[in-house]
Amino acid sequence: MSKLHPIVQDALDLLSPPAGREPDWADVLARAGENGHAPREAARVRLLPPSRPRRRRSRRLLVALAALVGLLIVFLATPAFGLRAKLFSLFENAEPAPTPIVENFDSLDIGAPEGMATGVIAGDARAVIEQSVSGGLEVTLYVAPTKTGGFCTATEFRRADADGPVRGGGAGCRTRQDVDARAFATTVSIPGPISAGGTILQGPILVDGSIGLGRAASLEVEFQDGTREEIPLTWVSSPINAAFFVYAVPERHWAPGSQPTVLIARDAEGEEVARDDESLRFIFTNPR
Amino acid sequence: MHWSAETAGAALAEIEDVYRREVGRFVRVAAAITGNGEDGWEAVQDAVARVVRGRAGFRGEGSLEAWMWTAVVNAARSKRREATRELSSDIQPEEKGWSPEPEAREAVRRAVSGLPERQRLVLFLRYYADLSYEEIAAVVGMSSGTVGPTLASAQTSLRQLLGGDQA
Repeated sequence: MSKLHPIVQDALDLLSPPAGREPDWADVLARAGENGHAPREAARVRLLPPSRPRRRRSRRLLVALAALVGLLIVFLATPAFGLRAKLFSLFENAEPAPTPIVENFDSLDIGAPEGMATGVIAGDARAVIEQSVSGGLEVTLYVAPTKTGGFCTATEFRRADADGPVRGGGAGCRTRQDVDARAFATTVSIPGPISAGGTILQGPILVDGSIGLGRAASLEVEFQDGTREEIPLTWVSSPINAAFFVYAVPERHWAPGSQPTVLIARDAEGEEVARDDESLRFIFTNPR
Repeated sequence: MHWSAETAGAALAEIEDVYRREVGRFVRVAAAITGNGEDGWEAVQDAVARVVRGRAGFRGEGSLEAWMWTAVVNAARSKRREATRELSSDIQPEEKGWSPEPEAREAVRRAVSGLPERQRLVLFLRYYADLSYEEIAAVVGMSSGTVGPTLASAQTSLRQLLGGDQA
Protein backbone atom coordinates (compact mmCIF):
# COMPACT_ATOMS: atom_id res chain seq x y z
CA MET A 1 0.00 0.00 0.00
CA SER A 2 1.16 3.46 -0.74
CA LYS A 3 1.61 5.84 2.10
CA LEU A 4 -1.17 8.36 2.51
CA HIS A 5 -2.12 10.67 5.35
CA PRO A 6 -2.50 8.55 8.51
CA ILE A 7 -6.13 9.59 8.98
CA VAL A 8 -6.91 8.55 5.41
CA GLN A 9 -5.02 5.28 5.79
CA ASP A 10 -6.90 4.42 8.95
CA ALA A 11 -10.19 5.22 7.26
CA LEU A 12 -9.39 3.06 4.26
CA ASP A 13 -8.22 0.21 6.48
CA LEU A 14 -11.51 0.40 8.30
CA LEU A 15 -13.54 0.70 5.11
CA SER A 16 -12.10 -2.35 3.42
CA PRO A 17 -10.04 -4.66 5.59
CA PRO A 18 -7.70 -7.14 3.95
CA ALA A 19 -9.59 -9.78 2.01
CA GLY A 20 -9.16 -13.19 3.55
CA ARG A 21 -10.33 -15.01 0.43
CA GLU A 22 -8.29 -17.69 -1.21
CA PRO A 23 -8.19 -17.65 -5.01
CA ASP A 24 -10.77 -19.89 -6.67
CA TRP A 25 -9.52 -20.38 -10.20
CA ALA A 26 -11.94 -23.21 -10.90
CA ASP A 27 -14.81 -20.83 -10.18
CA VAL A 28 -13.33 -18.28 -12.58
CA LEU A 29 -13.07 -20.88 -15.32
CA ALA A 30 -16.63 -22.03 -14.68
CA ARG A 31 -17.91 -18.46 -14.95
CA ALA A 32 -15.90 -18.04 -18.14
CA GLY A 33 -17.51 -21.11 -19.63
CA GLU A 34 -14.29 -23.03 -19.76
CA ASN A 35 -14.51 -26.74 -19.14
CA GLY A 36 -13.35 -27.16 -15.59
CA HIS A 37 -9.64 -26.82 -15.12
CA ALA A 38 -8.45 -26.11 -18.62
CA PRO A 39 -4.87 -27.12 -19.27
CA ARG A 40 -2.42 -24.33 -18.86
CA GLU A 41 -1.47 -23.08 -22.28
CA ALA A 42 2.04 -22.34 -23.39
CA ALA A 43 2.66 -18.70 -22.72
CA ARG A 44 2.20 -16.50 -25.75
CA VAL A 45 2.93 -13.38 -23.84
CA ARG A 46 6.44 -12.78 -22.75
CA LEU A 47 6.56 -10.74 -19.62
CA LEU A 48 9.15 -8.04 -19.65
CA PRO A 49 10.77 -6.45 -16.65
CA PRO A 50 9.24 -3.18 -15.62
CA SER A 51 10.60 0.11 -16.75
CA ARG A 52 9.65 1.76 -13.48
CA PRO A 53 12.74 1.38 -11.31
CA ARG A 54 14.35 4.41 -12.90
CA ARG A 55 11.35 6.51 -12.00
CA ARG A 56 11.31 5.06 -8.51
CA ARG A 57 14.97 5.94 -8.10
CA SER A 58 14.18 9.49 -9.13
CA ARG A 59 11.40 9.63 -6.58
CA ARG A 60 13.69 8.21 -3.92
CA LEU A 61 16.29 10.79 -4.82
CA LEU A 62 13.73 13.55 -4.42
CA VAL A 63 12.63 12.14 -1.07
CA ALA A 64 16.24 11.91 0.05
CA LEU A 65 16.88 15.49 -1.02
CA ALA A 66 13.74 16.66 0.75
CA ALA A 67 14.79 14.81 3.89
CA LEU A 68 18.23 16.37 3.66
CA VAL A 69 16.74 19.85 3.38
CA GLY A 70 14.53 19.11 6.37
CA LEU A 71 17.47 17.91 8.39
CA LEU A 72 19.46 20.99 7.48
CA ILE A 73 16.64 23.20 8.69
CA VAL A 74 16.58 21.36 12.01
CA PHE A 75 20.35 21.59 12.20
CA LEU A 76 20.36 25.32 11.63
CA ALA A 77 17.60 25.78 14.15
CA THR A 78 19.33 23.75 16.84
CA PRO A 79 23.06 24.20 16.45
CA ALA A 80 23.79 23.22 20.02
CA PHE A 81 22.20 19.86 19.65
CA GLY A 82 23.51 18.83 16.25
CA LEU A 83 21.79 17.40 13.23
CA ARG A 84 18.68 15.50 14.26
CA ALA A 85 15.46 14.56 12.60
CA LYS A 86 13.37 16.06 15.35
CA LEU A 87 14.31 17.61 18.62
CA PHE A 88 12.13 17.22 21.66
CA SER A 89 12.91 19.13 24.79
CA LEU A 90 11.50 16.88 27.48
CA PHE A 91 10.37 19.49 29.95
CA GLU A 92 9.45 22.26 27.54
CA ASN A 93 7.49 20.55 24.81
CA ALA A 94 4.96 18.50 26.67
CA GLU A 95 2.62 18.28 29.60
CA PRO A 96 3.29 15.71 32.29
CA ALA A 97 2.02 12.25 31.45
CA PRO A 98 -1.46 11.31 32.70
CA THR A 99 -1.78 9.77 36.13
CA PRO A 100 -2.20 6.13 35.00
CA ILE A 101 1.04 6.36 33.06
CA VAL A 102 2.87 7.90 36.01
CA GLU A 103 1.50 5.13 38.23
CA ASN A 104 2.60 2.58 35.66
CA PHE A 105 6.15 3.91 35.77
CA ASP A 106 6.01 4.14 39.55
CA SER A 107 5.01 0.49 39.78
CA LEU A 108 8.27 -0.55 38.16
CA ASP A 109 10.13 -0.07 41.42
CA ILE A 110 7.50 -1.36 43.82
CA GLY A 111 8.96 -4.28 45.67
CA ALA A 112 12.17 -4.18 43.66
CA PRO A 113 15.04 -5.80 45.59
CA GLU A 114 18.02 -3.79 46.70
CA GLY A 115 20.05 -2.67 43.71
CA MET A 116 17.42 -3.74 41.21
CA ALA A 117 15.20 -0.67 41.24
CA THR A 118 15.17 1.30 38.01
CA GLY A 119 15.20 4.64 39.78
CA VAL A 120 12.58 5.93 37.40
CA ILE A 121 11.37 9.45 38.06
CA ALA A 122 7.79 8.74 37.18
CA GLY A 123 6.57 12.28 37.73
CA ASP A 124 8.83 13.49 34.92
CA ALA A 125 7.27 11.17 32.33
CA ARG A 126 6.26 12.84 29.08
CA ALA A 127 4.63 11.74 25.86
CA VAL A 128 7.24 12.08 23.14
CA ILE A 129 5.61 10.33 20.18
CA GLU A 130 1.95 10.13 19.32
CA GLN A 131 1.06 8.31 16.15
CA SER A 132 -1.96 6.87 14.38
CA VAL A 133 -1.78 3.20 13.56
CA SER A 134 -4.17 0.85 11.80
CA GLY A 135 -7.64 0.03 13.05
CA GLY A 136 -8.42 3.55 14.26
CA LEU A 137 -5.88 3.30 17.04
CA GLU A 138 -3.35 5.80 18.26
CA VAL A 139 -0.21 4.84 20.08
CA THR A 140 1.69 7.05 22.47
CA LEU A 141 5.23 6.48 23.60
CA TYR A 142 6.01 7.88 27.04
CA VAL A 143 9.51 8.42 28.35
CA ALA A 144 10.63 9.03 31.92
CA PRO A 145 14.19 9.65 33.12
CA THR A 146 15.86 7.62 35.82
CA LYS A 147 17.93 8.93 38.71
CA THR A 148 21.07 7.37 37.27
CA GLY A 149 20.97 8.87 33.78
CA GLY A 150 18.95 6.23 32.01
CA PHE A 151 15.33 6.23 31.04
CA CYS A 152 12.20 4.12 30.97
CA THR A 153 9.60 3.93 28.21
CA ALA A 154 5.99 2.80 28.04
CA THR A 155 3.52 2.61 25.17
CA GLU A 156 -0.23 3.00 25.30
CA PHE A 157 -2.82 2.27 22.65
CA ARG A 158 -5.90 4.44 22.54
CA ARG A 159 -8.88 4.40 20.22
CA ALA A 160 -9.07 7.71 18.42
CA ASP A 161 -12.80 8.03 18.97
CA ALA A 162 -12.89 6.95 22.63
CA ASP A 163 -11.66 8.26 25.95
CA GLY A 164 -9.87 5.46 27.69
CA PRO A 165 -6.85 3.46 26.64
CA VAL A 166 -7.62 0.13 25.00
CA ARG A 167 -4.32 -1.50 25.70
CA GLY A 168 -1.22 -0.67 27.63
CA GLY A 169 2.01 -1.62 25.99
CA GLY A 170 4.96 -2.87 27.88
CA ALA A 171 7.31 -0.69 29.86
CA GLY A 172 11.05 -1.07 29.87
CA CYS A 173 14.14 0.74 31.05
CA ARG A 174 17.68 1.32 29.85
CA THR A 175 20.57 2.31 32.05
CA ARG A 176 22.94 4.95 30.77
CA GLN A 177 25.60 2.27 30.50
CA ASP A 178 23.31 0.24 28.26
CA VAL A 179 22.47 3.26 26.12
CA ASP A 180 26.15 4.04 25.70
CA ALA A 181 27.14 0.48 24.97
CA ARG A 182 24.33 -0.64 22.69
CA ALA A 183 23.05 1.56 19.90
CA PHE A 184 19.62 -0.01 19.54
CA ALA A 185 16.97 -1.22 21.93
CA THR A 186 14.07 -2.47 19.85
CA THR A 187 10.72 -3.95 20.78
CA VAL A 188 8.35 -5.67 18.37
CA SER A 189 4.67 -6.08 19.31
CA ILE A 190 2.43 -8.47 17.42
CA PRO A 191 -1.01 -8.59 19.07
CA GLY A 192 -2.75 -11.07 16.83
CA PRO A 193 -2.32 -14.54 15.40
CA ILE A 194 0.23 -15.57 12.80
CA SER A 195 -0.61 -18.13 10.14
CA ALA A 196 1.30 -21.36 9.83
CA GLY A 197 3.01 -19.83 6.84
CA GLY A 198 4.23 -16.91 8.87
CA THR A 199 1.77 -14.25 7.71
CA ILE A 200 0.67 -11.87 10.43
CA LEU A 201 -3.09 -11.83 10.50
CA GLN A 202 -3.86 -8.92 12.79
CA GLY A 203 -2.32 -5.57 13.58
CA PRO A 204 -1.19 -3.17 14.62
CA ILE A 205 2.34 -4.51 14.37
CA LEU A 206 4.50 -2.09 16.25
CA VAL A 207 8.26 -1.67 16.15
CA ASP A 208 9.44 0.82 18.72
CA GLY A 209 12.62 1.57 20.53
CA SER A 210 15.45 3.91 21.24
CA ILE A 211 18.85 4.78 19.86
CA GLY A 212 21.54 6.22 22.05
CA LEU A 213 24.01 6.97 19.30
CA GLY A 214 24.45 10.73 19.06
CA ARG A 215 25.40 10.59 15.38
CA ALA A 216 22.17 8.92 14.36
CA ALA A 217 20.24 11.44 12.29
CA SER A 218 17.82 9.17 10.49
CA LEU A 219 16.47 5.67 10.65
CA GLU A 220 15.21 3.33 8.01
CA VAL A 221 13.74 -0.12 7.97
CA GLU A 222 14.64 -2.61 5.30
CA PHE A 223 12.22 -5.33 4.28
CA GLN A 224 12.86 -8.85 3.10
CA ASP A 225 12.00 -7.81 -0.45
CA GLY A 226 14.80 -5.25 -0.41
CA THR A 227 12.60 -2.17 -0.18
CA ARG A 228 13.17 0.42 2.52
CA GLU A 229 11.18 3.04 4.37
CA GLU A 230 12.29 5.87 6.57
CA ILE A 231 11.15 5.89 10.19
CA PRO A 232 10.95 9.31 11.84
CA LEU A 233 13.30 9.73 14.76
CA THR A 234 12.49 11.92 17.74
CA TRP A 235 15.48 13.03 19.75
CA VAL A 236 14.77 13.83 23.37
CA SER A 237 16.95 16.32 25.14
CA SER A 238 18.81 16.04 28.43
CA PRO A 239 18.54 14.20 30.74
CA ILE A 240 17.39 11.54 28.26
CA ASN A 241 19.76 12.19 25.35
CA ALA A 242 18.44 9.48 23.09
CA ALA A 243 16.31 9.14 19.99
CA PHE A 244 13.01 7.28 19.93
CA PHE A 245 10.94 5.73 17.19
CA VAL A 246 7.56 4.14 16.77
CA TYR A 247 6.75 2.38 13.52
CA ALA A 248 3.52 0.62 12.66
CA VAL A 249 4.37 -2.03 10.06
CA PRO A 250 2.08 -1.51 7.04
CA GLU A 251 -0.12 -4.41 6.13
CA ARG A 252 1.68 -4.93 2.85
CA HIS A 253 4.66 -6.02 4.92
CA TRP A 254 2.92 -8.61 7.08
CA ALA A 255 3.59 -11.63 4.86
CA PRO A 256 6.85 -13.58 4.65
CA GLY A 257 9.01 -12.28 1.86
CA SER A 258 8.25 -8.65 2.57
CA GLN A 259 8.46 -8.43 6.35
CA PRO A 260 10.83 -6.05 8.15
CA THR A 261 14.28 -7.48 8.53
CA VAL A 262 16.73 -4.79 9.67
CA LEU A 263 16.82 -1.29 11.14
CA ILE A 264 19.58 0.99 9.91
CA ALA A 265 20.62 4.22 11.60
CA ARG A 266 22.44 6.76 9.45
CA ASP A 267 24.36 9.91 10.19
CA ALA A 268 23.71 13.30 8.64
CA GLU A 269 25.65 12.32 5.53
CA GLY A 270 23.61 9.19 5.09
CA GLU A 271 26.38 6.87 6.19
CA GLU A 272 25.32 3.87 8.20
CA VAL A 273 26.31 4.21 11.85
CA ALA A 274 24.47 1.28 13.40
CA ARG A 275 22.11 -1.51 12.52
CA ASP A 276 19.80 -3.83 14.38
CA ASP A 277 19.53 -7.02 12.38
CA GLU A 278 18.54 -9.23 15.28
CA SER A 279 15.33 -7.85 16.80
CA LEU A 280 13.29 -7.96 13.61
CA ARG A 281 14.82 -10.99 11.99
CA PHE A 282 14.16 -13.15 14.99
CA ILE A 283 10.52 -12.15 15.17
CA PHE A 284 9.61 -12.17 11.52
CA THR A 285 11.48 -15.18 10.22
CA ASN A 286 10.40 -17.55 12.96
CA PRO A 287 6.64 -18.05 12.56
CA ARG A 288 5.00 -19.09 15.77
CA MET B 1 3.97 -6.68 -11.17
CA HIS B 2 4.50 -4.05 -13.80
CA TRP B 3 4.83 -5.82 -17.07
CA SER B 4 4.31 -5.08 -20.68
CA ALA B 5 3.12 -7.63 -23.17
CA GLU B 6 5.25 -8.11 -26.22
CA THR B 7 2.74 -9.81 -28.48
CA ALA B 8 -1.00 -9.90 -28.91
CA GLY B 9 -3.25 -12.23 -26.93
CA ALA B 10 -3.02 -13.16 -23.29
CA ALA B 11 -2.24 -16.68 -22.16
CA LEU B 12 -4.57 -18.36 -19.72
CA ALA B 13 -1.59 -19.27 -17.58
CA GLU B 14 -0.56 -15.65 -17.25
CA ILE B 15 -4.06 -14.58 -16.35
CA GLU B 16 -4.15 -17.26 -13.71
CA ASP B 17 -0.80 -16.14 -12.35
CA VAL B 18 -1.91 -12.53 -12.03
CA TYR B 19 -5.22 -13.61 -10.52
CA ARG B 20 -3.62 -15.85 -7.90
CA ARG B 21 -1.07 -13.22 -6.99
CA GLU B 22 -3.41 -10.26 -6.91
CA VAL B 23 -6.73 -11.69 -5.78
CA GLY B 24 -6.40 -10.22 -2.29
CA ARG B 25 -5.88 -6.72 -3.64
CA PHE B 26 -8.52 -7.20 -6.33
CA VAL B 27 -11.10 -8.13 -3.71
CA ARG B 28 -10.08 -5.37 -1.37
CA VAL B 29 -10.50 -2.69 -4.03
CA ALA B 30 -13.70 -4.24 -5.34
CA ALA B 31 -15.13 -4.48 -1.83
CA ALA B 32 -14.35 -0.82 -1.23
CA ILE B 33 -16.17 0.09 -4.44
CA THR B 34 -19.20 -2.15 -3.96
CA GLY B 35 -19.55 -1.52 -0.26
CA ASN B 36 -19.23 -5.08 0.97
CA GLY B 37 -16.86 -7.99 0.77
CA GLU B 38 -19.21 -10.50 -0.80
CA ASP B 39 -20.14 -8.26 -3.71
CA GLY B 40 -16.47 -7.42 -4.08
CA TRP B 41 -15.61 -11.09 -4.38
CA GLU B 42 -18.38 -11.66 -6.93
CA ALA B 43 -17.17 -8.69 -8.96
CA VAL B 44 -13.63 -10.02 -9.03
CA GLN B 45 -14.64 -13.52 -10.08
CA ASP B 46 -16.88 -12.13 -12.83
CA ALA B 47 -14.23 -9.72 -14.00
CA VAL B 48 -11.50 -12.31 -14.26
CA ALA B 49 -13.91 -14.66 -16.02
CA ARG B 50 -14.53 -11.90 -18.55
CA VAL B 51 -10.79 -11.47 -19.01
CA VAL B 52 -10.47 -15.23 -19.58
CA ARG B 53 -13.21 -15.14 -22.19
CA GLY B 54 -11.73 -12.13 -23.93
CA ARG B 55 -8.07 -13.02 -23.65
CA ALA B 56 -7.62 -13.45 -27.40
CA GLY B 57 -8.50 -9.79 -27.80
CA PHE B 58 -5.77 -8.56 -25.52
CA ARG B 59 -3.69 -6.32 -27.75
CA GLY B 60 -0.71 -5.96 -25.50
CA GLU B 61 -0.74 -2.17 -25.61
CA GLY B 62 -0.64 -2.01 -21.84
CA SER B 63 0.12 -4.51 -19.14
CA LEU B 64 -2.04 -7.57 -18.60
CA GLU B 65 -2.31 -6.56 -15.00
CA ALA B 66 -3.66 -3.11 -15.85
CA TRP B 67 -6.17 -4.77 -18.15
CA MET B 68 -7.33 -7.01 -15.34
CA TRP B 69 -7.51 -4.12 -12.92
CA THR B 70 -9.70 -2.26 -15.38
CA ALA B 71 -11.99 -5.27 -15.62
CA VAL B 72 -12.19 -5.58 -11.84
CA VAL B 73 -12.95 -1.89 -11.31
CA ASN B 74 -15.60 -1.89 -14.03
CA ALA B 75 -17.24 -5.04 -12.66
CA ALA B 76 -17.27 -3.59 -9.15
CA ARG B 77 -18.78 -0.35 -10.38
CA SER B 78 -21.50 -2.31 -12.17
CA LYS B 79 -22.12 -4.36 -9.07
CA ARG B 80 -22.45 -1.21 -7.00
CA ARG B 81 -24.94 0.25 -9.46
CA GLU B 82 -26.97 -2.97 -9.37
CA ALA B 83 -26.99 -2.93 -5.59
CA THR B 84 -28.05 0.70 -5.52
CA ARG B 85 -30.98 -0.07 -7.80
CA GLU B 86 -32.01 -3.06 -5.72
CA LEU B 87 -31.88 -1.34 -2.35
CA SER B 88 -34.26 1.32 -1.23
CA SER B 89 -32.59 4.41 0.09
CA ASP B 90 -33.09 3.53 3.74
CA ILE B 91 -31.64 0.04 3.55
CA GLN B 92 -27.92 -0.41 3.93
CA PRO B 93 -25.96 -3.00 1.98
CA GLU B 94 -25.42 -6.29 3.73
CA GLU B 95 -22.51 -6.50 6.09
CA LYS B 96 -20.59 -9.57 5.17
CA GLY B 97 -17.04 -10.41 6.00
CA TRP B 98 -16.19 -7.29 7.96
CA SER B 99 -14.59 -6.80 11.30
CA PRO B 100 -16.96 -5.66 14.04
CA GLU B 101 -16.61 -1.89 14.03
CA PRO B 102 -19.90 -0.98 12.40
CA GLU B 103 -20.35 2.58 13.67
CA ALA B 104 -16.87 3.77 12.85
CA ARG B 105 -16.92 2.02 9.49
CA GLU B 106 -20.30 3.46 8.66
CA ALA B 107 -18.93 6.93 9.36
CA VAL B 108 -15.99 6.23 7.09
CA ARG B 109 -18.24 4.83 4.40
CA ARG B 110 -20.40 7.95 4.49
CA ALA B 111 -17.32 10.12 4.24
CA VAL B 112 -15.86 8.13 1.35
CA SER B 113 -19.23 8.15 -0.40
CA GLY B 114 -19.07 11.92 -0.25
CA LEU B 115 -16.08 11.94 -2.58
CA PRO B 116 -16.51 12.14 -6.36
CA GLU B 117 -16.25 8.67 -7.87
CA ARG B 118 -13.01 9.41 -9.67
CA GLN B 119 -11.38 10.52 -6.42
CA ARG B 120 -12.62 7.37 -4.71
CA LEU B 121 -11.21 5.13 -7.41
CA VAL B 122 -7.84 6.87 -7.43
CA LEU B 123 -7.66 6.60 -3.65
CA PHE B 124 -8.54 2.89 -3.65
CA LEU B 125 -6.17 2.00 -6.46
CA ARG B 126 -3.32 3.93 -4.93
CA TYR B 127 -3.72 2.68 -1.37
CA TYR B 128 -5.12 -0.82 -1.63
CA ALA B 129 -3.57 -1.79 -4.96
CA ASP B 130 -0.38 0.30 -4.80
CA LEU B 131 -0.64 1.05 -8.51
CA SER B 132 1.58 3.70 -10.08
CA TYR B 133 0.09 6.94 -11.32
CA GLU B 134 0.43 5.68 -14.89
CA GLU B 135 -1.40 2.47 -14.07
CA ILE B 136 -4.13 4.29 -12.21
CA ALA B 137 -4.53 6.63 -15.17
CA ALA B 138 -4.91 3.66 -17.50
CA VAL B 139 -7.44 1.91 -15.29
CA VAL B 140 -9.59 4.93 -14.47
CA GLY B 141 -9.27 6.54 -17.87
CA MET B 142 -7.59 9.82 -17.08
CA SER B 143 -4.27 11.46 -17.84
CA SER B 144 -1.44 10.44 -15.57
CA GLY B 145 -0.74 14.10 -14.84
CA THR B 146 -4.07 14.49 -13.09
CA VAL B 147 -3.72 11.44 -10.84
CA GLY B 148 -1.54 13.20 -8.28
CA PRO B 149 -3.79 16.26 -7.88
CA THR B 150 -6.86 14.01 -7.76
CA LEU B 151 -5.26 11.91 -5.04
CA ALA B 152 -4.33 15.01 -3.07
CA SER B 153 -7.84 16.40 -3.38
CA ALA B 154 -9.31 13.09 -2.27
CA GLN B 155 -7.13 13.00 0.82
CA THR B 156 -7.87 16.59 1.75
CA SER B 157 -11.60 16.11 1.28
CA LEU B 158 -11.65 12.85 3.19
CA ARG B 159 -9.73 14.31 6.10
CA GLN B 160 -12.17 17.17 6.26
CA LEU B 161 -15.16 14.87 5.99
CA LEU B 162 -13.76 12.75 8.80
CA GLY B 163 -13.20 15.80 10.94
CA GLY B 164 -9.48 15.22 11.15
CA ASP B 165 -8.54 18.44 9.40
CA GLN B 166 -10.31 21.68 9.99
CA ALA B 167 -8.26 23.53 7.40
